[in-house]
Amino acid sequence: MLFFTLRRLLLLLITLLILTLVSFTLMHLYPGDTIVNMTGIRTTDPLFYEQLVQQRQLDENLLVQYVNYLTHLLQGDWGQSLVTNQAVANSALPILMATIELCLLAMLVAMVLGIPLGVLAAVKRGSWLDKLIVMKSLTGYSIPVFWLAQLLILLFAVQLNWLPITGQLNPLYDISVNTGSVLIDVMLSEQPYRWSALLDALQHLLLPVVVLAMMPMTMLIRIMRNAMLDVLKRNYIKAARARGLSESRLLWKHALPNAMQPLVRQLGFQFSLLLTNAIVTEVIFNWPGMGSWLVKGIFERDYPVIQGCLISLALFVLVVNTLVELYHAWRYPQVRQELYAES
Amino acid sequence: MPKANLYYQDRVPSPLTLIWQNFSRNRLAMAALYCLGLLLITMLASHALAPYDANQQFAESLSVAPSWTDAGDMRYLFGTDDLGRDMLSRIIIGSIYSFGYPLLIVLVAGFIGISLGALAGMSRGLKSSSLNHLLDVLLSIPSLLLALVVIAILGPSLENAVIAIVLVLIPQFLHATRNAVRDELKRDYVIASRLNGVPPRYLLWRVILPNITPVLVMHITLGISTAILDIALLGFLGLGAQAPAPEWGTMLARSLDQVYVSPWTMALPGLALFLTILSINVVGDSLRAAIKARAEES
Amino acid sequence: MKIRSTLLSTGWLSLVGVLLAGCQPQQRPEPLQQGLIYCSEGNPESFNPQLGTSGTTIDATAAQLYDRLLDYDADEKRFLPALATDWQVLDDGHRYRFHLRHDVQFHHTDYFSPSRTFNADDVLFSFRRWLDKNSAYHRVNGGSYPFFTATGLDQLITAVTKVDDYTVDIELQYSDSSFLANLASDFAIILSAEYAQQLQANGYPERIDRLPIGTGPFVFEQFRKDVLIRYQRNPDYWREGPYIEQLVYSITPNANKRMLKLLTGECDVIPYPLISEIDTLVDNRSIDVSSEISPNVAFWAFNTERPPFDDARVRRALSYAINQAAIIQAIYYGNAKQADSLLPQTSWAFANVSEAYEYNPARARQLLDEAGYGRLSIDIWAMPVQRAYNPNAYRMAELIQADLARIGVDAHIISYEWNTFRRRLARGEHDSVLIGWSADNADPDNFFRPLLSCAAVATGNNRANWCNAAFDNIIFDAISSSDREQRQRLYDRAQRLVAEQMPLVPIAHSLRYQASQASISGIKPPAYGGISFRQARIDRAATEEQ
Repeated sequence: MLFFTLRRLLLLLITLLILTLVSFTLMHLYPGDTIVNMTGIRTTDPLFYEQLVQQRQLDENLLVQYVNYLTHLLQGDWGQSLVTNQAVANSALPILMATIELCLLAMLVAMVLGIPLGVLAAVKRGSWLDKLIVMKSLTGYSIPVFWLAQLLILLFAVQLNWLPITGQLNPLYDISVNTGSVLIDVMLSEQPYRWSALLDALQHLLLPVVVLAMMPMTMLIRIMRNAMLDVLKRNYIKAARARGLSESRLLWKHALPNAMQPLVRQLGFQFSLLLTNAIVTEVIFNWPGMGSWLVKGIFERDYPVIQGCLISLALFVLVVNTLVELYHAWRYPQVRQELYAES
Repeated sequence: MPKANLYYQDRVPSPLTLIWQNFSRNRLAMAALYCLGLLLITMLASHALAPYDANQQFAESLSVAPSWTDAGDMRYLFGTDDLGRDMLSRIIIGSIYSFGYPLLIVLVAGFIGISLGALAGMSRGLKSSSLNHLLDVLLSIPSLLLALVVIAILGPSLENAVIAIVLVLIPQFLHATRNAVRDELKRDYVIASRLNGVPPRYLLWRVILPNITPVLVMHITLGISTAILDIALLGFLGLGAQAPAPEWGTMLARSLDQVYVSPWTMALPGLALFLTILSINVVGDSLRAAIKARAEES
Repeated sequence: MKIRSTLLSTGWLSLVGVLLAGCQPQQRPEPLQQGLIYCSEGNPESFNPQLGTSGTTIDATAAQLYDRLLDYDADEKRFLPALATDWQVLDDGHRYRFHLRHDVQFHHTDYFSPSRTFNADDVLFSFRRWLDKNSAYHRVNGGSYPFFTATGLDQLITAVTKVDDYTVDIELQYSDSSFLANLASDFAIILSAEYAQQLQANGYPERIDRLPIGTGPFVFEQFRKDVLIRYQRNPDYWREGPYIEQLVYSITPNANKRMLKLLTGECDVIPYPLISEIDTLVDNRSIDVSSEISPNVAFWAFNTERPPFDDARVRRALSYAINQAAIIQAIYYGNAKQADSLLPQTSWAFANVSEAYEYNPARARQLLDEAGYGRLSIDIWAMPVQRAYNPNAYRMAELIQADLARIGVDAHIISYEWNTFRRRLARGEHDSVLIGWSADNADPDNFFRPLLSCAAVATGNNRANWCNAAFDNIIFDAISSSDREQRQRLYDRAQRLVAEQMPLVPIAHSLRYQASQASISGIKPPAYGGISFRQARIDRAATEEQ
């Protein structure tokens, strides 16, 4: 396991290096002046400009430039925004946290609802319940997320007036931004109205989380159903049943743990899909996360911000993928064997 | 040379035929396929089918409700938008942008990706599993994120959105093809052909390709649904198709301003998108099921 | 874990139930009672109105954070004392003496504690910031003061001198009939000299426009770009008000979302409600819609420095090509007057000069042919935000695009985020632009010098980049005179010249709309300049009982 972990971490490291290489190349590809794109500093002073070029070693060959770029990146110097002149690295953390909060909650909801429904559909295979669940999941993952979001907003926020439309929190609650995750920030604050603010934050979270959870949930239902059907056909289940194990014990103790394996393997991929949808969901719900920051950055031609978003989002996905794989390998050692055998 | 049937021949249907037989037994899948066919015809004949030009503005009939409502007007079946443009015509002509362009994208990306992937799969140098793993990991970065970055470089427009999506789809096709080819190479029948001294080109075209076609078709349907969604998404964000192109995502985005007065301008493009993607997903899904069923039979 | 997941799912469902049940507003928690949410349309460029002309910045800062020497009362049409208690005109209009108010406190915040009250030094500092190129703060944060350059105030004022701690003299190069009106505009605010010194000593002079200190009714607390601006009540305010404890600008660029948030009660006040939906709103009893005649104009300006717009025939052709009546119907739903000149019909200097430009595509085509342009391809920049004068520039651009297609002109619509848009406009990167102007004061001069003078080309405010010496002379003569009849004649000539040269096509004069919850009172859509929350009151109890 240790060897596997190390191998996997090394792979992560290499991927990240490639990512920085890509990002470095992009710096040259973005329209405009490379030095401005990198540092986010616009200057009309030729002396200062020269100084910047020296500092970034842009007059040297590409390898030196890249090493210099990487050093700056690692030191946390991601340039400053061309629009606000704030350091990108500093603003990135709370923004990334807002995205992580949204994604993790959505994934949680997707799993908590998707897995039992998938199991249910498999157990009641062929029944109307099964058909209903399968149909629902087919519709669920074909519906464009931005359309779904608008429909839900119209229904739950505008018509029924149950939930707020956009934002993280009623802005009148004076909660300072420390981590960027609204739930944690509210809990950390010492305001007397903390609890009503928490309830308010949960209400704001509900719609985006549901919208975002829809796609992975339907996918998980299908994966779970297929895996469960697969497992239920196996001999050891038949054997267990022949020995007179109760049906529920059979299901929970013997079938489900094995059926979870393909699901866990798929989680990383589901997370990438989720993140794609998170970008547009954030824009629709004015969620102050990476997605809306990135889209704003593209509109404002704010290249340091675009770079910051690319690196943070890719880092997030890659780390989640690595973690999922590590968990998968730890939980299901037989997979590890396969990977070893391959290498 | 006339074909003389000298020996008894047990004609084994090709893998594709086998899967088609399984597929066509699924009524839902066939319905979805007919839907797609209809959509394709609509798209190809859109300019003939649409009652008006997509950008023709009827100044005297702004925001007319669909014809089946009381306030509707028979001249405009699906009503008009806030600039007095016929919704039906816009939806029909919009299929070029929202369905035709994705098809084109997948055609181009698929051609490039599959050829490169087949080459990479057949060549010996690139077999390291670490490299394979690396590609796996890199592809976990969402394609939309990469497409957004490409747009940041090229600037927002429909053409650039198309280029961006082609660029991000190529590696996916490449990777899928390469894996499929490499998996097939290990099979007994391929090894047998090799031992027979078949040249690599024949091996690829006549031995391997027919057997991986179903998998490739599945990836192509997946690619189409990704391309449709991405084009619509970029249009929705204002980074893809620009006014006055009746692209469905763009139409949806600009309809939001009138959602209270004329909800149909939002419902229709969304519905069109939804039905298209649903059909493709049903087809892709049934295809996967059919492939799986065949694998289990053999 | 597997069994827990079902338990969790039921737990989640019941949580949903609790959330939904808890949503009906029974009793608003304490901080929500006396706080007001204004859903603004964009981020302010900075927190100092001296630096810009953007209405968004003015709305967010001018009346909330700062005071001016004097105010203008649009209803009574007279000047009111503010930080100056009274003033005298001396030396035949070449010198103005202002007597300043005593005991006016600057804001106390966690980044600044004033040690003294407002006095003449603050006036000197505030004026010299934009007036004196050698003052320490002139170059801080860009060093461009478009309003003052465009109105010529920086040329007009020769000296600002301190007579004593509470008396200031301003000397003018010539007498100017629009001088007091310009001083009462939202741009001529008073900053704290003491704060500026402290910042300079600490080496952060640029913070003066980011962490603002003023004398206004609200104190700055927090700004999160694209999310919110938070102000608290200024407890030491020198005049009556404010009545609300907290004022939050919730930044909501999407007009549709703003509208929906008003309906759901997430916004208390919104500017520029979608005109198409106003009828729905007026029916809704819990929402008030108010409007104010605000002297403004929406126009389509051509960048006259670029071909083909350097040719007046092309500009005239395009003015014939657009169907203005259709625009008034589709964009303003009839809630605007078709513009016959830059000046609104309500202005005393108005002259109807554009009868000649009726919708006439054939004439347009003919003019284009004369100018030697067969097919033409142009860019139309459409501003991304709503303004009083133009509720939806993008849609207007789409209409114009269709009109132009009819005469064989291809148009591409271009839009950026608002601040980027303005920055690029100022650099003159556009072909043509749909934008407009809201008057800062009642003087007709405010429609000419800031928009079309050569000085405004330099500041980037002259969207047509049109510099015409004859025109400059006319408007300069007009402000040097205080005889209304003579001025009227001069402005008449100016308007004719504009109509002949067509650097821009005036499109519409619109009402300024604003919608608010019925529980909010005391906020009028301003006729000139930015919105003010000084007199806003909230009475939530009254509406919740209904």
